[in-house]
Amino acid sequence: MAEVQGAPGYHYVTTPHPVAGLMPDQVRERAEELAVEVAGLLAARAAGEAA
Amino acid sequence: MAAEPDPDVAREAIEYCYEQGWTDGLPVIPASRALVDQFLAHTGRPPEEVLWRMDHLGTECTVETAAINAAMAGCKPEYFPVVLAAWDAVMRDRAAKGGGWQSTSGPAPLIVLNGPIRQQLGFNSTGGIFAGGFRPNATVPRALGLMLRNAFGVIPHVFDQTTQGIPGRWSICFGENEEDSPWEPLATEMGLEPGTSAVSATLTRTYEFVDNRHTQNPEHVLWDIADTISRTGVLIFRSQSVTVVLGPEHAQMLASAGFSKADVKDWLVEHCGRTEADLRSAGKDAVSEGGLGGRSAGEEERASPDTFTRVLPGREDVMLVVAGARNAAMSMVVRVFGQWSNSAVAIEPARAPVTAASPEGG
Repeated sequence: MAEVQGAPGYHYVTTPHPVAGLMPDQVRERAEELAVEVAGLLAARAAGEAA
Repeated sequence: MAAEPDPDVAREAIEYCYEQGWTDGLPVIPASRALVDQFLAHTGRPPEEVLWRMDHLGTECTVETAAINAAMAGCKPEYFPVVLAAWDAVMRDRAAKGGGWQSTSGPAPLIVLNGPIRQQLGFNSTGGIFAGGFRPNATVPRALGLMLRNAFGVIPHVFDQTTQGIPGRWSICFGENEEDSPWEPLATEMGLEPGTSAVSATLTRTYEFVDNRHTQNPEHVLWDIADTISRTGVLIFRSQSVTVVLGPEHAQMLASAGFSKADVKDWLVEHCGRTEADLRSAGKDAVSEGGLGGRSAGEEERASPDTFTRVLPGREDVMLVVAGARNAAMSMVVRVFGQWSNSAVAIEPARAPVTAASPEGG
């Protein structure tokens, strides 16, 4: 998908299925876990741009 | 006498198509320029006309690309106007434009033909409509599958996210058995002139038989059909659309008892549904935020256990077709993926002479 959108090296984070049956507080837990990874990606990008 | 074709040369060309990734797993007909031109000669639509564009993938299918894929699917050139009309008909289904082709459901197009085109091209509309054995019935839907794969790039495990899918996804196409139907043809019901060759199509999820051959009471048959429509496993939303492919015996029994098509639809709308207790057992007694999927209701929002919830909102959510043989009383309930467009697309009249179809259409 990233490739067809013209961004072959695009970084993204993933979370495993199942997700459809999660209750709101479980979604929040997932988001908190992923936020750490998202922050890591952004930090790596910022470091790359600074270098 | 012409020399017999060389099977080894044919196999080499077929293998070449496999190597290019152009097949759906079964062999395809290698499409030469001359063959594709024969297909294009059967339509007045320009080869460069874009049938549809999948913006988010940056892919599109033109009339010419459709011709190439129809040729590879095994269609005869004279089937091409049917392929184009079938594509247009299925794309009237809102779900087909809204990501349905890449859905985890892996929906199958259901393609129904009306009018003299059935006899002209040899489409089966009687015995074994879902059972294969007829070239036009088999190759027209396959052409759509190859268009999706080769033109739009929706390939399994890549942009096709189907979880399990539907058996025979690219093989569901038949004529309405107008000759044994007690009612007006589907395309006429949808507003086209009687006798028009036309296609109606929608995306579908399941095919479940209703075998009820021992009763003389039409309401027994309708109850059986309603029970199949009302199965909780298929409820994703609080309402749904169905196609009922009535076998001629069921249709004639209903008509003899005074049921019009509209009466059958109204009966089903009134009787298809489940009690809150049943929905609760399946954890589907409430609608999730945003009105999408069913979910389990909280204590405070629960309805009385014997409250009956209908699952068909109205007549427009029921497509009635009569097809199959008149040799046993059975029908098929077809689950519609989204919502049928309630329309039929007229097939472009033949431009080139049509070769006579054999009984097998081959």
